[in-house]
Amino acid sequence: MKTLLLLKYAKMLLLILVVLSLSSCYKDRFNMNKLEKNGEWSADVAAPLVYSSLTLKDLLNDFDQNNLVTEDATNFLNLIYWKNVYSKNAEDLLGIPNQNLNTTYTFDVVGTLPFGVDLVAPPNTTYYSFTTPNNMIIDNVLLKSGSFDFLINIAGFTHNATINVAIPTATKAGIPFNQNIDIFGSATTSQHIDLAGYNIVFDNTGGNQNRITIIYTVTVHGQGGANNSPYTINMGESFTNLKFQEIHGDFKQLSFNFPGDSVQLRLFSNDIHGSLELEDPKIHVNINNSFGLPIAINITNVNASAGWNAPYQLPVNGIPVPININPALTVGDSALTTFSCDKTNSNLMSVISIAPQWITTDISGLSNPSGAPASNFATAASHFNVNMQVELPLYGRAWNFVLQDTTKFDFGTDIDRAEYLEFRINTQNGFPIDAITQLYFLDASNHVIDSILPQDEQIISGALSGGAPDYRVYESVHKLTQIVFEKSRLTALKNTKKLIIRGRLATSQNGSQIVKIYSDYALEVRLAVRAKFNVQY
Amino acid sequence: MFVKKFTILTLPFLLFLMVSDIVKAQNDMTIYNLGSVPQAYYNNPALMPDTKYHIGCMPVLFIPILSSNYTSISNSGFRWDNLMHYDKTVDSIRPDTTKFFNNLSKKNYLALNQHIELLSFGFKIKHKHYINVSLTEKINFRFCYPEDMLLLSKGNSQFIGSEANFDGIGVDMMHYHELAIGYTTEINKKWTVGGRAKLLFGLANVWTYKSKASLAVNNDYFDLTASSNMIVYTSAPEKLYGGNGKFGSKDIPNYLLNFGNPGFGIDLGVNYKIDDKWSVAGSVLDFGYIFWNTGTRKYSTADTSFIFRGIDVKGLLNGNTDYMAMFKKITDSLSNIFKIDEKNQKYTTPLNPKIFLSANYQIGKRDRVSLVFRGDIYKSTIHPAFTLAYNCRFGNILDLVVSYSYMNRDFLNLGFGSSVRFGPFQIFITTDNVLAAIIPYHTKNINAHFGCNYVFYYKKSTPLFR
Repeated sequence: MKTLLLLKYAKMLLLILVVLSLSSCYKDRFNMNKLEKNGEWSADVAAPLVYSSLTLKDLLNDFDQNNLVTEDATNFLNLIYWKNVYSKNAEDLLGIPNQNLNTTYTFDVVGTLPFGVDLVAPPNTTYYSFTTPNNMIIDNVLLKSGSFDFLINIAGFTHNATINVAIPTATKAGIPFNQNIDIFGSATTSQHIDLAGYNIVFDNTGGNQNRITIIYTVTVHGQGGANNSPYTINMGESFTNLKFQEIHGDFKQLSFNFPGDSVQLRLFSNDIHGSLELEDPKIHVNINNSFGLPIAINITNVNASAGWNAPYQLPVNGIPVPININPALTVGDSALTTFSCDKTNSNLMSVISIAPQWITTDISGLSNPSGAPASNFATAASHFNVNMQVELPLYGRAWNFVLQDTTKFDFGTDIDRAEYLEFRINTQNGFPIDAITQLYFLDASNHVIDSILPQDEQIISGALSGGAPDYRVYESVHKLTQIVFEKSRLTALKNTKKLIIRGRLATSQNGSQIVKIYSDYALEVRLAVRAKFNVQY
Repeated sequence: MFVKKFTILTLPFLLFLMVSDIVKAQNDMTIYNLGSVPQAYYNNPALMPDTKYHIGCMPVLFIPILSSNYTSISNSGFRWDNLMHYDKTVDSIRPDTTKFFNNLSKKNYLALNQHIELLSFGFKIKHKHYINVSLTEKINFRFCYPEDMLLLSKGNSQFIGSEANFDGIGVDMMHYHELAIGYTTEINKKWTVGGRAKLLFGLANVWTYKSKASLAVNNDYFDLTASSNMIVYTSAPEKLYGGNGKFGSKDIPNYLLNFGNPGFGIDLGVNYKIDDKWSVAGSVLDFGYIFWNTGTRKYSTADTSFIFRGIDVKGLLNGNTDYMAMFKKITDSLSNIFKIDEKNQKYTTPLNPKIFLSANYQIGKRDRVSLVFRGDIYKSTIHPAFTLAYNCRFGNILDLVVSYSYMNRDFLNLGFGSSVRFGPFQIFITTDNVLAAIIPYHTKNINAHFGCNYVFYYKKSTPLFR
């Protein structure tokens, strides 16, 4: 019995030894240092990239960020490109230069000058005519700022004195200009008198022009010294930095000239080719004049320039020369003079058909064009603006109209880790415009490496629209495009440095049908990508 | 006769095994058959131990504490060699994705359990009655990881037109003291019944009460739709929550002596002796609840979803190329939608009940075969396991059991158990998968249950099989 038990124990022991010997070789399987080098992990990932519903306003934001897309009550869209091609304000046009008088005269006081005794010299009257640009005549001017400056010296003067300065025709709140300046002996005295708020009336009668009268009266304060009369006084006076609040007079004929300003039509900036026929383009010239001054302007050499489409440059005709600009009738008012040219009075349809990127013009003008004596006025806020607007109602036809943009693009060096790349492009086109689109991948030398869309996938059909007069879209069109790039194509794309996006647009029926674009039209774009790539560990 | 009876008794188990795809159970199956060890009683309180009385004691020190220690780690999803293939020819390992993903089930579980018996003793009264008292420290952890979550590492294209389903993802963890008193009585020669009443004191808990999440990929546009509805309860010392200072060793006594989260549990068992050879038994364990009152939080997200359709390029047309701002806008939207709401809220968690069913055949005086079914009831689902065991006794000293189990969707579980008695001192050790020590890379289950007791038998009697 004992032998049997021992045999059983021995078998058990043997089993345990076998088990232990087997267990010694498993450690290699857990040793992470033995993890295969350059192993790969594959993942197949799908994700949406882009989801946008783009209206024309969204799309045009790329062209012009000044929100120059307007819409009417029916949501019909107009593109308006505008620019102030000429602008002048009152300071530019009617600045009053500094006036240097520098009056010198001799005065005499009679009697002794003991301490505390004042002797008054006879008043001295000075007449001064303001010099003005273009010899304009000023009837009166209300000053916003400016000063009457003195640098007074009385040679050999041993007493103190007070000089009274009076300008009877310069008033402030109804009180004539009257100021005292104290003099101490023969020292030079400097004095600035603020003229802000003074209304100066000029004497333009009897052959005088822009003349004012200044009266100086010297009172000598005795200091006990000798009276060495007569004395010669140098006033050294000037009117400086005069800025007017309001000015009246005859401003005469002022001429101005401004060549070569332009309006950019950024809609066509990315156009490289094509035909466009907008039904009702317009150019509006708006001139705003808040001077009490009639002006005649000449808008000349109006030319449309296109970089891609012949004849590349086309003059715009139909703009009258000159255009007489009305003056403001009252102070603070302004007068608006407008002129428009459209297909009825100009060749504008032909001009727009070349898809011009620029419309350039020269502007010149002349005030008081009749040359007769005039009664003009201006305020500090008066201005004269010439604004040109090019209005493009999005109503017409287009065919073979090619838009292109180039952008920097790089797939990165790891693109060849991908086994394939699938693009899934869903478009829901709500515009009545057919598009043939393509994306080109270019290397650093601008050589096309590849393009994304096969020929039969390039067309995005336009939405279906109704007839005149609204041409409203009643059904948008969906398109799904799937493109797969296999590894061999992806490897070639490693050298991509640029991406060209090109779209060839045509209104319905290959451009033969007129369409209207409304603000509620949208192109829904959904771009998704699926890629299988290998990650090395 | 034996074959017929055995077939009748085991056929329902085998049929269940064939139709079940969710065999993910806890372990500790082998000790069920080691009747010489008093701790086997915990799996069925109707199975009266062989001993007259016993006191659990710590090895070496011979003091009546730490008499039993059970540790298990199981991963129902994959084995190590499913994940890493060893190529002998080049002596290297590499990920084996095909094998890895083929082995995953819809829901997979990583489970860790630690049961430390601090104190136990039991005694019989007049052969027919048995009383058992035990104090046990129990820590159970289970992490559910859905197959689709791991499949996402291969990318989401496989879910185009469908969705990756993450329902069930989450962690459940419970740490509690269990003070149990058991009573077993032999009604007659055929029937024995028993029960254990347990007083529980919860210490820490994480309970994923609701876990619904998915990621759908649209067939036409690849739009990604993420949906989520989660509710997670936690109970932990306040210092473990952010902003309340560090949890240090000084806090451990307070943690262990927290009696603010009481609970109860009940075990019930029955054993029926058909004849001299056959017997059947059944038990229901851990039917009860813990009421969590201290350091409780409820974290929840609304039942909501987020659809990512792509980036709106309007901004790019405006010249805005601030991609980080665009990305932030998306993440801000995500954070707002899946905002986690946190509030203090008491809650009640159920224990995870277990069912044991067994059939035993006594071959001879010292040999027995058994078939055991164990079902863990977890999240309203039965997670079954099966064990076929052969038990042999050598003299009055040595008991051996070898078992074969199917558990955690794994057929390769060869168990072993033994108890050895030196006078009144008994040492025992069991494992459901001895192969884990030999080929650990090819196993899903690792567990060991070991301990020691002072055992005393009636005079003039030898311990016999039940």
